[in-house]
Amino acid sequence: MRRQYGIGALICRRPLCVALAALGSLGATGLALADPLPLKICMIDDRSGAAADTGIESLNGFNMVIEPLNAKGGINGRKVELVVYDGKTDPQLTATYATRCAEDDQGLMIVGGSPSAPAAAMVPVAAQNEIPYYILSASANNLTDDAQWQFRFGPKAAQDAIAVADAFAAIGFKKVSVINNSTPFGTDTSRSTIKELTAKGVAILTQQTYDIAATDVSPQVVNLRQGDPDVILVFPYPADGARVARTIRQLGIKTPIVMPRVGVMAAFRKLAAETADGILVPISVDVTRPEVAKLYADYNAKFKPIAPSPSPAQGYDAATLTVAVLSDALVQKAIDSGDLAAARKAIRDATERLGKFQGMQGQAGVTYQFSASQHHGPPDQGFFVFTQVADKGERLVAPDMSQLKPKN
Amino acid sequence: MEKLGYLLLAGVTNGSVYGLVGLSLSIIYGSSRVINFAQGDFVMLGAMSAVAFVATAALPWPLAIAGTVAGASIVALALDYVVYRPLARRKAPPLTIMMGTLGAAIAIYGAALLAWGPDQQFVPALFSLDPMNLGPLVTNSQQLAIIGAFAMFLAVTWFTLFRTRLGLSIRATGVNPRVALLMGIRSERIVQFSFLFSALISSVSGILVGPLLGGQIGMGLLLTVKGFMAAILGGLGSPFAAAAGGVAIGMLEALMAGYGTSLYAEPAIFLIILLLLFVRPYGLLGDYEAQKR
Amino acid sequence: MSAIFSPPRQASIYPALAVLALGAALPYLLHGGFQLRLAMLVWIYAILCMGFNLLYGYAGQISLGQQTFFAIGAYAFALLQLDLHWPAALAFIGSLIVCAVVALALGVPLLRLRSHYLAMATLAFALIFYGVTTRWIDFTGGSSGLAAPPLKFAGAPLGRMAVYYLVLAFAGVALLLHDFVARGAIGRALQAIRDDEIGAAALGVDVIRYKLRVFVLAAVFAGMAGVAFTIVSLRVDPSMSEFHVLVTILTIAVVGGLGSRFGALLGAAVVIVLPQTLVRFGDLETLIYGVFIVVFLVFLPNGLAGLPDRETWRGVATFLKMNRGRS
Repeated sequence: MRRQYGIGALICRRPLCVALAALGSLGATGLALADPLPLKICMIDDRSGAAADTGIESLNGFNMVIEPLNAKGGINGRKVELVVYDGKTDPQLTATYATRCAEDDQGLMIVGGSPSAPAAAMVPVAAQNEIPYYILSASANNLTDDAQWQFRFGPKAAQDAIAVADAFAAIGFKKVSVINNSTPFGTDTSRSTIKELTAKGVAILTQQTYDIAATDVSPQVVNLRQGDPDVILVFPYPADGARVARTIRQLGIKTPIVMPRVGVMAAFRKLAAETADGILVPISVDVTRPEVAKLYADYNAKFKPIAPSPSPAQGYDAATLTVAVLSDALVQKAIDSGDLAAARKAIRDATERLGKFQGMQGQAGVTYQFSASQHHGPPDQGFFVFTQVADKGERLVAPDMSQLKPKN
Repeated sequence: MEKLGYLLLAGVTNGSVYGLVGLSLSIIYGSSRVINFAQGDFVMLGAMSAVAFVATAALPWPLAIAGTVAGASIVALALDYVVYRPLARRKAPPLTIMMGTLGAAIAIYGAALLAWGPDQQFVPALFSLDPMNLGPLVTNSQQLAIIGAFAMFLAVTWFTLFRTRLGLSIRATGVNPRVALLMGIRSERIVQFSFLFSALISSVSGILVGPLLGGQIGMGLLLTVKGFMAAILGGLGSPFAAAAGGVAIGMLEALMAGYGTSLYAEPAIFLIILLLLFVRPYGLLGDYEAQKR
Repeated sequence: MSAIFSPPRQASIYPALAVLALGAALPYLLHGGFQLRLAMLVWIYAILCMGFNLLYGYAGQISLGQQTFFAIGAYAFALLQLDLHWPAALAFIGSLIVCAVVALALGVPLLRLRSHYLAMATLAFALIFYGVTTRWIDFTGGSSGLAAPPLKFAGAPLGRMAVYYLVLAFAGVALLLHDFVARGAIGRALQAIRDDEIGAAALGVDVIRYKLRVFVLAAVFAGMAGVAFTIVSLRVDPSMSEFHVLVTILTIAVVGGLGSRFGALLGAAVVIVLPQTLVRFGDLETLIYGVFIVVFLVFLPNGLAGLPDRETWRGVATFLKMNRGRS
């Protein structure tokens, strides 16, 4: 139950309010109280803006661990409470909610941050308030450099790029053309990938950018043909990705297309229909692993059917580690003592200790690598697999990578 | 040579979309001196209605189009009665009314969020998206339909404004609403008509553009901005200037993407418009107000 | 807007000082860092909107680029420290100078434009800035922005209370400056320009110089707000120049009351704090926000600051009467 905020709170004089305020400020100064702390976790992410699907899906994935746990009585008889905020992809608002979580809600930890800018805005808040923060899919490379309180579950943009570059090098692709939309997702991921590819000696023939409000992208697609590339890399949103795919095939270009992240999304596949077939998508969830396939089957049954995007898996893995950490003996001791600052610190330390586990992301046998010196979970190798669109965009299948050959 | 052909076709296609929004904007401006911040939202409503009527409710297209236009008309009337009329009667400055339309745009976006959610959705296409040959170029019928609709609405607007009494009344109201009132023209009705006509054009554009741009409730803002730029570039003086501005922006974008840098194309276009305004403060083709002074 | 026709009241500096005194006492009335952060945001947006108020409320020049100067001030402050290693105080002055110079360069050609064209031209400027900032990743850090170094005093980073009082100091300077301009001869000259440029020129007001000066002043206000924001949030990113900041500024201006002395502050207090109370409504929030703007515009055209005016209530009564007869 959230309390009233706003001007009313400032002039609230009733005894109950005064008592609550006193308790609140006591808690903020970290004085030991008799009562153990509630297991409060704040989920702060975009649930209604441009990145809403990652926010909603990751929350659902998180709940798929927490709800059964709470039904069985929770951790040591105490249920886990989730306080959910909608950051609307607004860094200022997200940071304000993070502060609210740390100060007013007395949260034990923050989970969230799928787009990079809001996630980055929460990092200073986590540091100032000394509260652990699990970043989900935000991909900006430097978010977990010299990290004190933040940990990341999703891959960095550079790692997406490394996966693509390694795959291309293995196949023998030497000439690549890149096309991206003008949004931050398009420009940032495109840039990271070009950097990695160039480092591996692959030639970038051209990089084309288009505006998402452009109905006709043929000028950019026509430019993609020059130099006869081995493969075309596309970084779009679903609708414009469909436009690009259609235009590429319409112009009779038969070059293989790789479309990271978006290629699996339902809106893209429906809009592109048969032109989506054959598109390869590197993603961090391998649905050939039985437990992963079960996770998505359960998700589709419980919520609405989705394409295998990494967000539910990231939410699920974050919840798995959260439960392991909260159940840890040292963390339980700090929680029982009622000392919020000590509990948060214990959670941070426990994450570093317990953070090597096989989650739902990555290939079989590959684990997260959290440690005292490493706050970025996914490793560079073995985290991505390729999947392929088939059947007029209806299905996703495991591709036969041996079919891909360079043009020379 | 073929590349130039594609560039021109893309320029005309994108330009048609921007031109349609610019046209709608300037129809409202022409009669009321108000810049409608909610214009792009009408396009969004058109696209999302197509999703609701055809994809979700599986209605046949004629019914869906009728439903879409009806829905857009209701929203346009709401805009008129709730925002425009109270403020105009109080003789509020046009910029205040513009802020009112901004509030309305936010409210429409909020309502759309409740109705359709934030994801990008599949919009069913009225015409075929299969590749079609147009001389040496390949396009598809939906795209040609957009260009066709643009031309058609331009023609209808021209005919209405310059060949009918209603059009004469509209132009009179735009020049001076009070004198028009004295002449027996019911200015408020005229403005209401311009809101409805503009909503019609925008929502039909939305139906046509949706399958290509995707249906997402945030698409309105981007198109509103492009529409503004089209109207300003051409000049707010006449709907045709705004339409021409839209085509100009579409062409510039295509040519810049084709031959120059595609990464900085968008900011470069805005810079060109800004520089143009330095030289010609009333847009390329001028405005009534310029003539007044 | 009726200020010209009522006899000028002898405006004094005491209300502004009273507000500042309240601000100084505020940390002791609030509970916890979250509310303090909200208070700091209120001051920051108040500074931002005071600049806008002078430009639009008093001088009648619409600029849809105020949020861009907010971002320019912040980026300049961060970049001068990160790339050129200037100390914070010098970087602050530097960022204000950058804002002033850009405003001057923009203002000279732009202020010939009228109303809608000026609005769109400043919007184009805003879009150019946003477009370049998100694309020039090497210089600006792209869409995830840059981390700004925290302010240090005698080697240790400033605590939260110290940051609050620093922000309050900025707000104090802005409030006194705004007050001085608004209630003095300059304010009357600006209002004359707003109401009738040709008439004002006939009365001897140097229209072009005043317009340029208020444009630059508004930009400097915005830059100051940007620096304050950077000190609080320790990050700069392109979202500071995005559309929704502009919407917030316009909402604050409308809700608080344009052309009033304390409208910006009142509006900021309501608009910043309100979404926190709307959180419970979840998805309805955006809708409520939009409805709010329209309701204020239609029923309270002089905003909250105009509530004490009899004009407002007369206007409401007239509105109700006028619309009862029509269908």
